[in-house]
Amino acid sequence: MKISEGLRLIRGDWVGFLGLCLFLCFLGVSILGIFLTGGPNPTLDPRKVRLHEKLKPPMAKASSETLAKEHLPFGRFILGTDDLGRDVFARMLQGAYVSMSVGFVSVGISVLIGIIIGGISGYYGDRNIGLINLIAILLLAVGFILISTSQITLGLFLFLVAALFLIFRKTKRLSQIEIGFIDVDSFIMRIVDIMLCFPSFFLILTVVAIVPPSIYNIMIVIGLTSWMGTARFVRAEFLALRELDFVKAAKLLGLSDMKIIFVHMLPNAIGPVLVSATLGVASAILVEAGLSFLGLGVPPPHATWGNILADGKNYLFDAPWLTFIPGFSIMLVVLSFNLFGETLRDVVNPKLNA
Amino acid sequence: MKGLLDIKSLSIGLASERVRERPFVVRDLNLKISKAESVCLVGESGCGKSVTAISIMGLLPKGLTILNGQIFFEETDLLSLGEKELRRIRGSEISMIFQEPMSSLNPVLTIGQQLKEVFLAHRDGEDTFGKREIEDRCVELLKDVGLPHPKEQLKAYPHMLSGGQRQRVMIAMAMALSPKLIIADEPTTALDVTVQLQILRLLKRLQKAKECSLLFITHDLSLVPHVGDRIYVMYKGRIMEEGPSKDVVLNPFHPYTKALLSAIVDPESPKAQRLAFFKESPRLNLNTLNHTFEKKGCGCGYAERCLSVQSKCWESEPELLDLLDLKGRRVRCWLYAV
Amino acid sequence: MPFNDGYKETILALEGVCKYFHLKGGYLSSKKQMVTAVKDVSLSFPKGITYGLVGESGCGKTTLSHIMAGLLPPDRGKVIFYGEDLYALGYREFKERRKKIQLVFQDPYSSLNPRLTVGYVIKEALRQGNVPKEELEERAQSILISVGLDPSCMKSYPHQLSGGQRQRVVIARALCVSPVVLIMDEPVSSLDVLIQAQILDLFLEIKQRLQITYIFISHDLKIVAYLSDIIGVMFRGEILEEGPSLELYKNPLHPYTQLLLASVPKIGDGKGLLESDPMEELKSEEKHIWEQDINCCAYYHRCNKRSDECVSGPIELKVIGENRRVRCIKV
Repeated sequence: MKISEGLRLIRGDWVGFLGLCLFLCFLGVSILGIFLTGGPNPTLDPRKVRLHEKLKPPMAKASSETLAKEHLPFGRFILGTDDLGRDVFARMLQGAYVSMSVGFVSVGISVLIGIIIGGISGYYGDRNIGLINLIAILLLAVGFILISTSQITLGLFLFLVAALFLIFRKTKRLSQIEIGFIDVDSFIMRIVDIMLCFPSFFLILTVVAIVPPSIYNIMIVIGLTSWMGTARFVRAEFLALRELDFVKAAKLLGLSDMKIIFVHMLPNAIGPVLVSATLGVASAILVEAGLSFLGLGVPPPHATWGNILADGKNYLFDAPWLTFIPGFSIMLVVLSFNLFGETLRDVVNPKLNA
Repeated sequence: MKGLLDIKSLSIGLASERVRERPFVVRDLNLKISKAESVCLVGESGCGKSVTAISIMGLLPKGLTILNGQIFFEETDLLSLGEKELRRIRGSEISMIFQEPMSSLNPVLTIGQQLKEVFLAHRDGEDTFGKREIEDRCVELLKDVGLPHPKEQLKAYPHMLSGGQRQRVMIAMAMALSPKLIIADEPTTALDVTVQLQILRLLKRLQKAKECSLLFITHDLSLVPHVGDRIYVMYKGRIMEEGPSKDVVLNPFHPYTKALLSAIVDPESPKAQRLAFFKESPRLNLNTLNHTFEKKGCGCGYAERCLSVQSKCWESEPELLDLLDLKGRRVRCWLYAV
Repeated sequence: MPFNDGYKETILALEGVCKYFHLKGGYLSSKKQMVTAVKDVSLSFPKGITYGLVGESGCGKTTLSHIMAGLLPPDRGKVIFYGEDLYALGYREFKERRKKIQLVFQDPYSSLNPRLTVGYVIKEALRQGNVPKEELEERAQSILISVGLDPSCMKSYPHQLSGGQRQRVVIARALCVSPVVLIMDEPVSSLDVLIQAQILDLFLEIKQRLQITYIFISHDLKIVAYLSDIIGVMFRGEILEEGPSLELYKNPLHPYTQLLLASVPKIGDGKGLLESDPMEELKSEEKHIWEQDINCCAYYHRCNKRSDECVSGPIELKVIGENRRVRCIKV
């Protein structure tokens, strides 16, 4: 994929270009935010409570002069203060990092899982699932559950057995034992159907209620509950690609299945995944905001955009900026992703680069 | 024979304004078809023959535009007509058969529905048809093109038919309103040889019966003497040779026509002979870019592939000239320019 | 016994190969229709021979080519390669053996991965042919030159090449693993006549250079006759006639072969070719694939020499004369 050609395409499509610029701005802001608001003595302190300054509107002057010179840019609260007198600008900067990282990491996890599952389902399709593979998968699943509920030794043991099975599955005798009525495709798609039956937000809520609250757990949880869409896209593309001659030619050359899936088929199937991923980032940010709004997200005093929104809901008419500013920022980030996603798909499609 | 279609100095090129020296897809094309005559337009893919055909119908894609020229159809310049008038002519006076039978028919409509559409689209002409009459005419059309069980086939969907059968349906649709000119753009290229023969026979038979003209576009010279009365050989948007088809095929003048003829596979000819012929030709496929486009004033377009090329050929382009002693034969080559 | 010159070793053989496709009628449907794509085909390919398989679309030749190449296991019968049953081998051995049978597909547009450069494709194929890393670049260049391409095209993507160039890349890729059998499934059908002629001449050249077995599949009898030493005529999954190519071309025995021959438009023929018997047209209409009866001549519905005894029972492939086999009661 030529980078120069890609950049040219992006520049041609001004909408996507706009989206990319916005996105890069936010990226810059969030990285800046980590430096400016992190550590014990940050330049802009998001945690400092100044009750006498509470509910000041944006661009308001600080009441005491000394404070203004030391801590605030231009001597003002750029985005105002919240009900505890904390600087909203500082909190927004701190929250930017959380939102972005939640967005990317959870989408990264979900895309990874989705590609693997969709790829296997699409590629092996109508083949009967081998008994060995089935047992291995079941052991893996049980082991995973055990580990996550802190029965680590037993879980690891099961993992090991499953791994052993997977390594030896290609031997002649074992690989010929099959279960006649279950296809790989049907099996995996039914699992996907089961996962889709759960309303995702409630699933997330349930899991968040069980596991200890932390930013990482939230990312993992959102990732683990939103891979189904990607899996379906990948499977659909693979079903079409499998019949194409170059895949058959790759098989004839003796390439291993893994190589065919990842080197030959996946780059051609990535188009809808990219669009879905960019939308997924937007949606993940919103989910995190929703969780924080409900108080189940990242624990205070760490700021996230959802937190700020949540805190502002009581003061909607007195201090509307507490709601509008994070809300507007979320909207801008989501918008930039949506705009950029479509262009990204066109960039990656080689046929349009002719 | 009266003239039906007369293309004069047609030039088609890219529509984008950014290109300063506009590359041509078709340049200065002159083509005549008389009534009840069948003309073959021969050339390899990318030479501009399909583009010429769709420009007659006024269906040029967005990227291409007519730079110059006129297309006279029975005294009217088609290029000066508006969309409404063109729509009246399309289907009822000039109709087209496309190459890919697999994708020319709408997969979600039955054959009968698509055939009826042709009639319904031209309903507000002089003849108006009733529902019953349309159906009867559809059945008759399907019988004419040789489809068995025409009444049942009306309810069939395209995917139930084979390629040859679909092409017959396309021919039926083209013939429905008895047009004066049928343009067939490589109608048999995607079909098997046996089916190809049947379709060609069908076309010829229908053409004779309805006394319409046929513009047959192909890249296979071996079909030409069986289908066409006259032939135009096209290369890179220019006509290289024209004349009565039998004459051109049995006695070709232009080096490109000769190359096309020698490319026809004959199992009974000695293999060594064929091998020698192509060993001498420059390897055409070495990194040639999209060879459709050609800049102005660069000598003869065929110079880089010509086996009889001379230095004159690189300097300037020859004109399409009549051969003095043979009537109706014209060649664009310095070898024959007196 | 299938064709065998006697003195040439048989590299690849098919014994009684059958392949059926089941048409699903939906979850609730009890109707299960079966399409016989390949019916009891027995062929043998001696070393160094070019075998031409002719048949119209839908006759099962593509399915047969996939079975021969190791992509599709037959429902019945065996594929014998180097004396061993190909599909009965263990997984790893199967993959290694299969590499020696290569298949060139019909559509040059879908035969190449649109995201990989020509250079990557060729080098990947060479690596599969166990070429050491140091020699990759050199070998890649020499293979591209040998199929008539300039090595500078290694940086191009498939969509930047023309149909003829793509087909050459596909052939080069197939040759990278030094196969002993090269199956070509309609490699020139989608190309222009001039490019067709060039690719066919390329085949002739390769054939002279590397003494490998070719199996050339097409629907065009004249192309097949031009290239092959032996021709097999296939129809609806069965072999109808087989014999040395020039002999078959000059003297076809089976009515279907005669029809194929008559469909070849010859230049000096005049208009006679197109004046036909109108009844002929209706008789030769294609019927639906699944309306066939298994136990009579498959060509019955389209034959112009048919009679009642043709539907009386299954017709065997008879050996006639030296090296000719025909499946017809009338011969």
